[in-house]
Amino acid sequence: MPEAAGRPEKPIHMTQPKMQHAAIDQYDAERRKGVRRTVKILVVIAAAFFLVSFVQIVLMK
Amino acid sequence: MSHAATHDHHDDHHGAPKSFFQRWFMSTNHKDIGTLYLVFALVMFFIGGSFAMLIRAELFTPGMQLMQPYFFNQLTTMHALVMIFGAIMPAFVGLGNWMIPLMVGAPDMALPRMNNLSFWILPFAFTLMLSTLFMAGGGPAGGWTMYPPLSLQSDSLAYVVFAVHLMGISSIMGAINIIATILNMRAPGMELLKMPVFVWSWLITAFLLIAVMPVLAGAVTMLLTDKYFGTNFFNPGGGGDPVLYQHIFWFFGHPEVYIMILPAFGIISEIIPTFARKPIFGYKAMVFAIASIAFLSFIVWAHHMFAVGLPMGAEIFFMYATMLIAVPTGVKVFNWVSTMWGGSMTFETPMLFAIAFVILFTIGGFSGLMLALVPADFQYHDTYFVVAHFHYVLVTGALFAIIAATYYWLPKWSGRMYSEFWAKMHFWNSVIWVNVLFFPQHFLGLAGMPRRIPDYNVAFANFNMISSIGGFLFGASQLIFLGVLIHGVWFSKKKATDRVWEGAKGLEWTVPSPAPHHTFDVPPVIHDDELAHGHVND
Amino acid sequence: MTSGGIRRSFTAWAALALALFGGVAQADPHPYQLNMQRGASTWSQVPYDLNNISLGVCVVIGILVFGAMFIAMFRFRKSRGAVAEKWSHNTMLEIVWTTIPVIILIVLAYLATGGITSWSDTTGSQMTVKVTGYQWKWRYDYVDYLGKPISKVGFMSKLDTQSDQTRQLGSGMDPYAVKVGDENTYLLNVDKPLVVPVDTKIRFVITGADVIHSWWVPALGWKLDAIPGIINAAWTNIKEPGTYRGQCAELCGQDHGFMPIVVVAKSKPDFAKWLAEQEAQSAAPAAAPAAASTAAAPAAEQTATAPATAK
Ligand code: HEM
Ligand SMILES: [Cu+2]
Ligand SMILES: [Cu+2]
Repeated sequence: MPEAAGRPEKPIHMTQPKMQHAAIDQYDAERRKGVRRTVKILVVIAAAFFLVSFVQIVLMK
Repeated sequence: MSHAATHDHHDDHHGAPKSFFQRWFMSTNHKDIGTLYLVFALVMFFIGGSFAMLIRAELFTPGMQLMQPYFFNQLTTMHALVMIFGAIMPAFVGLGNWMIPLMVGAPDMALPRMNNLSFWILPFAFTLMLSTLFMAGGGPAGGWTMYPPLSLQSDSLAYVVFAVHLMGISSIMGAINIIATILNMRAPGMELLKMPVFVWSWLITAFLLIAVMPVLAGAVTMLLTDKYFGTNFFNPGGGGDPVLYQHIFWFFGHPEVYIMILPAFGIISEIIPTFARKPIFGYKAMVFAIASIAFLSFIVWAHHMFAVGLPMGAEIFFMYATMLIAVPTGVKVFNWVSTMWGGSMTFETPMLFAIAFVILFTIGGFSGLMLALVPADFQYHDTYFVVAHFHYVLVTGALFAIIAATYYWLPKWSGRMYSEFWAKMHFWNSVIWVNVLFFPQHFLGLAGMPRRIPDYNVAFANFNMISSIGGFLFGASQLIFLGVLIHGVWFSKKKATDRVWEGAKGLEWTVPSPAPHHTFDVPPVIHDDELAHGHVND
Repeated sequence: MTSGGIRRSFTAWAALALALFGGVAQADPHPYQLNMQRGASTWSQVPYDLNNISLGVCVVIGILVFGAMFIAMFRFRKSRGAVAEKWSHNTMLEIVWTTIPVIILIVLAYLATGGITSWSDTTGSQMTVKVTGYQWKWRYDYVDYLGKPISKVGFMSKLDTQSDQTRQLGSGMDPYAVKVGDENTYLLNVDKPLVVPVDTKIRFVITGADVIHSWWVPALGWKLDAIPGIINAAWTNIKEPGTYRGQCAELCGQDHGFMPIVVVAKSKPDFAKWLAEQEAQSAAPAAAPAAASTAAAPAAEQTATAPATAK
């Protein structure tokens, strides 16, 4: 994607809110999938640490 | 992607909902939510600050003049909780919200509705917590560390625990959002090692948050069940162990202090190159240093517990681990200085605060190193020396970085230039009075004044009075800040350019000032030379 | 300037000079005290030296780093026509400023480790005292001395009456008026001090009765938490007879600031005499049992001994 030709002098990277290009749709879908996966992993990590704080008590007894 | 950039009639509120309620209460826009966070942090800063003024007023001279000791303890406890969880952390989240999508070329945060929720939890959490001050038994008075058994004597424990749970949930959701955004929403071409250091610092901080906020939640939950449900986690009468709480608390607590400084490192690493007009020295080393500090922060917690009577081996281990942190921290300081060396510097207000940060944070780091030496800490621990240490790293560290960031990005947010004259007034007043306020506290601690006491022997009178005077004037100086902000947001006639600062680099400066409601709806085309670290291979 | 003003500013400067160079000439804490005290025990020199050495190291590094910064700020200003250079990397430099700190840290760690080791060694003590923290006073129980168990010498030690009255909100009393001899003892005096012998390795066993407290006498060089359910041990060996004052150093509730610690170190003969008196007192039928209920120690015992005085 880098090095697109004909870039304007002063870049304003915005456009109409509606996205029509199939490429962008696909890029967007991938992003969404990635976000879902990341969130799942992170929630598991958070839950694990919460439990660990209790396990620590039991272990150190 | 040639359709990026044809639209030039954006107004400030392009696409923003019309009604006030819809815009601010139901917002899913990262900029509006960022603003909410920042405004909330500012309000909390003044509330926490007013507690500090009362504390310094009581400590102005020996003898009790203004309040009962128990109320004094409520003030110190609330001051810390409000400043840490209400001012510093939300301010960084606000800056992250505003700037991370702009810096990586994302249209918004990855999870905009969760973003709204993580903010709107906070006002409720703090209303709950602050309301305890008006209850019959008073607010929490056992210190922000909430050590049992003392904290179990408080009538307001349940309120505070619930408030801490809410803050924790808010922080975890915020952190998940930030990581998801950084890992998935970057514009094509924005590789990880081309990201601004601020984004890196937030990525790492967010991992710290996800790891330790649940641990804090666990610790305070155990306090709650000990008090109300007959468990004996920490109750020695029932076979529990009060020291165990401290281990769990500081397993959260030490990473927590880095949660409050790593984003500050990121901010300073953005500002210094801009005003030195020279790329940051050792980009990769900077990122690596942040990561190693974050890692080490998990294995140093017991340096807060050197005086609880740990086994000798543990004291030695935690001392060595703590001292190790000084190495990556030193690298960061050296790199900032080297960034300035050979630059072409100007000294606008953000740069002034950044320079003050480097010097004064380093002084806090020095006292940190001294505190790490166990035998010396036997003397320093729980004295004003520690108070001086953490205020140097938190006020002249974290807070100064937040102020620097505010001046740095305010023109991008509001589209107007703030008054440089009054901002400099704010800077010079802050930097002078903050030292009058906190430097003498080193002496007080060395001479033997414990922390968290409402009254003291007359030998400590001189430096306490000096410190209080510094405190009042530092507090007053922040009213200048408020004035500069109000003027710079609504009244200033001077329009900001898109790039704002001559030496500024990065995607956030390629969008108009003020940044329109929606940016990068379509991913931008990234040109390495417009990034601050686009060509980095060191 | 009025003569009073001159006198005051002279005293202030003298105090400052003393604080910087004298240190030992007056009791600690003293006005304008700038540094940690050297202390009065065989071990208290350790934290004092570490404090001074590490402070020295920090000052030197600070001068170098901040010096470089100020030079940069002066030389590389745009207003002086400085043009930004392009480099952003220097391997040699980076290696140097990683290694040198590591070496310095190793030296400091070595010194500190020695200090921890000697502090942790509570063996070979000639006397044992049990210290218990209460909300908001201390209890001292003498356990043994020179190999002989001591029975029934133990007492509560709490803030002296004069400080206690003065510190009440709106008391209208002057903290500067709370004195023993020349020394201001506001909030640093107790009704009954802990009395110990000099030149004796004393083992303290420290615990808490309700919440966590911390027993701290700066002249001894350390503090140690008094934790309910846990017994901590530490030792001291005081070199000079004298009165050493400290305070509770762990937040323990509303009167945390008002539970000082006073240790009176006596020569060995004086101490033996004192101990004998105490034993006789507690043996006498009229005297209150030492192990009496903690909260309500009999008033007779509380007022029997005069407040601690210097030496
Ligand atoms: C060179 C790096 C640092 C070292 C070696 C260090 C070391 C220490 C040590 C040993 C203590 C415990 C002192 C005691 O209670 O006796 C301490 C306390 C503290 N430090 Fe640091 N520190 C460092 C940096 C920081 C930073 C960056 C922050 C936050 C931005 C911070 C915040 C605090 C706070 C809040 C406390 C007091 C906590 C409490 O007891 O309430 N420190 N530090
Ligand atoms: Cu720490
Ligand atoms: Cu206490």
